[in-house]
Amino acid sequence: MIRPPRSRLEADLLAAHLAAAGVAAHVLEATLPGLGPWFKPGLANLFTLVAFFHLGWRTAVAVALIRVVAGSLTVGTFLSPTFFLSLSGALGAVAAMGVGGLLPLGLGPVGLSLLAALAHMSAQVVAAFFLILGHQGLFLALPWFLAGSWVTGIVNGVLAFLILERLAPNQASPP
Amino acid sequence: MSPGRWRLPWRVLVRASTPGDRGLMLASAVGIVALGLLLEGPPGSRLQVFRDNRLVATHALGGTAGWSVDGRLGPVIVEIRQGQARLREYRSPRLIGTRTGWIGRAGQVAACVPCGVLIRVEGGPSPADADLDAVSE
Repeated sequence: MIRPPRSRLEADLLAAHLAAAGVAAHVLEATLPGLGPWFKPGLANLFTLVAFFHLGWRTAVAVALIRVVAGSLTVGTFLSPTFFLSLSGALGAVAAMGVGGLLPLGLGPVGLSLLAALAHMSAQVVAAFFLILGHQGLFLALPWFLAGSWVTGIVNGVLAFLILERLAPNQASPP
Repeated sequence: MSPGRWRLPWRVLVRASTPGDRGLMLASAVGIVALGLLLEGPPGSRLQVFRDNRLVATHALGGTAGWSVDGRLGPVIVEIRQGQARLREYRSPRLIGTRTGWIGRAGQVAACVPCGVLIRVEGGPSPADADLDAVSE
């Protein structure tokens, strides 16, 4: 079983491992056949969530940014419209984690993952509207996108809980 | 799948989630369904095609038609058949617009964001009502 980090170096190493896992998930998802028009597994966010619970919000932001930049460089979409959609989604997700962790709702990994997934998708649709498409009709598709995010958010939250249990028993609560 | 097979994932979900998590799951599900019902329109009568938020064509949804729009990543095919429409793109990373499939209710959209192409079904009088099958710019 993996111990919780005891030093700054150990925490940095764990953050690097989570970022690398996030990049791998990012690349894997880019190559997987789609499961439906409104559905993307969002596995890369899983490692951001683990970083948030285990190492704090700032590290989660770093893991998300490294994942988006390194992942887009790997799959060849850096600075393309897809990159900016990924970036806006990742920033929306970590912002939701930060705010959700502060709210007195008693949210655990599942709740924060759900909140992050919904924020991720909403931020991407808003970014697509302002940066690329500019048509309000895009928002009419939002319920379908959010329905997909609802499912993936819960599944990823459960997976994050299971990972956090292994990383640090009894510490699966907001930092 | 037998009911027994659902027990393990259900138990894991219950163990992993707090009462706050479960409240958020319920509230967000209700909100998404309500939003979907709110935005669902009646059967549409015409299709609008946008390129970079600029209306480039309007076509009646009756009959059969198909044409190509120049997207940022290459041609995007728009098809109309039996009161419904769809778009087909080939070079976008996730093909979301293509996989949206046929749309036919007023307000429904299919978009290829990287291509900059969006189609939207509209209600109200169609171009056919004005003795026109299509209007393009």
